[in-house]
Amino acid sequence: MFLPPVLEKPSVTSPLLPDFVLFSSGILMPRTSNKELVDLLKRGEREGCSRLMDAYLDRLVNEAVSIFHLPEAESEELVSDCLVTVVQQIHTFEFRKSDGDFHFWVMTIFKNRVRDFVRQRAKTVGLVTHFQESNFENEEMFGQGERDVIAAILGAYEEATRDESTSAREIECRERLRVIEEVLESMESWERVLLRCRALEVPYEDITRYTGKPASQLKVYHGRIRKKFIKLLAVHYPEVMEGERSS
Amino acid sequence: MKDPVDRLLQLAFLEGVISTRGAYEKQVARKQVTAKRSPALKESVARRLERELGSVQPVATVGSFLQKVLESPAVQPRDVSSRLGITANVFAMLTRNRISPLKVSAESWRRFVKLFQIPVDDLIEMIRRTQQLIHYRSSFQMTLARYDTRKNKELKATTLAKATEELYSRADLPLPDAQLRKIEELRTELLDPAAPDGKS
Repeated sequence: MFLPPVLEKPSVTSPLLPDFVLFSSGILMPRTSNKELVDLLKRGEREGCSRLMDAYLDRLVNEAVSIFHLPEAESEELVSDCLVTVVQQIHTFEFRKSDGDFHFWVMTIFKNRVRDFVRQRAKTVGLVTHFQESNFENEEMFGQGERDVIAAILGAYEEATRDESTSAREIECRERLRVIEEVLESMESWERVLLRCRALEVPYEDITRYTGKPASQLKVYHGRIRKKFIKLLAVHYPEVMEGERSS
Repeated sequence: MKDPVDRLLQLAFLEGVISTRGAYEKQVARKQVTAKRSPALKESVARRLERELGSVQPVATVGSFLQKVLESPAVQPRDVSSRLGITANVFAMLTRNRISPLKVSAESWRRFVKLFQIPVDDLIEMIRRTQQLIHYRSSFQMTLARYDTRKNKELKATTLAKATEELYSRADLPLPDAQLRKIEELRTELLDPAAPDGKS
């Protein structure tokens, strides 16, 4: 039986895109079930490779470039490695809940690869430089103290990535960012969802479903909530803010 | 231009400190991909994947799986058999596909899943193929017994027996209903979370 590779039952098949299926939640995916794709790969059939590539190569490279700001050439290499890992590890994968399990599994592998790349960049050239390419220098948005707070978090993270022991590095990298989780926890639930989702460019229309607030309102609030977040973050770094005030 | 707060949150997301509870992953599945990679890149990735696929051979039977495990010098048959809770003799027969896997207790198969960290469905498939091999072995041995040429008879028969065994273990052949029922019962038992040491 032919079922599409996604998270729920199909709703519409577009006559313009006969090889794709549109789901009620708006998901558009190739008309191949993940179950079928996994079976092909587990049986060692070449068709599995081309289907895996069709479904993920362009998609993941675009994510690496547009969402995580990785250089294009490195993104292509990273995604290629990610797909190789999928093929190598396919025998350890099993469906537990639904056909969408496979997509989440591939995304976890992809996410880990991007994380390793970012850690390597933090260890070698540092992250502050890359943050300076962003809106970091916008003085209307951030005061010097707030910029110093972000730089302090990044500095601590960079230091953790230089840990020689893999297991210690694993723990330390997370620990240095734990303050972000704490600050988010102190905010209202809908504010947390908005910040987390928008950081990864989840559309406002989807966030409306999770928060119950209209998209237009979320757009207006997003900027203010980012400011609120950075101010709350600064509270955790009194020494940085104090140094700033005294200078 | 990306906001530094967003970048900081992304970093926390990549490190697993915060999550979007699947919202991001669903969003990726939903996106229409506009920017396409070059055919040269696609070709080189396809070649890499196919090469990898060639080196990842699916395990056909319980015997071939155990033989692969025993290839490591650090693994001793006695240790594995005691951890599975079976005698050394039964273990030796399992590695050579000489005993029906249905004669091994569900408890031992549960330990097998835990020890080798393999999905239950993959184990059931191995058990089905091993059972198929054992069930049809007598018929292909009879066929082989009729094979008779004067020259190199023994060598040719051994080669044929090996090839036939591999073909039988890889083919999809019907098994008697009673055996299929037993395999299905074993699968249900292994997937039962209430069972001791069962998968949750």
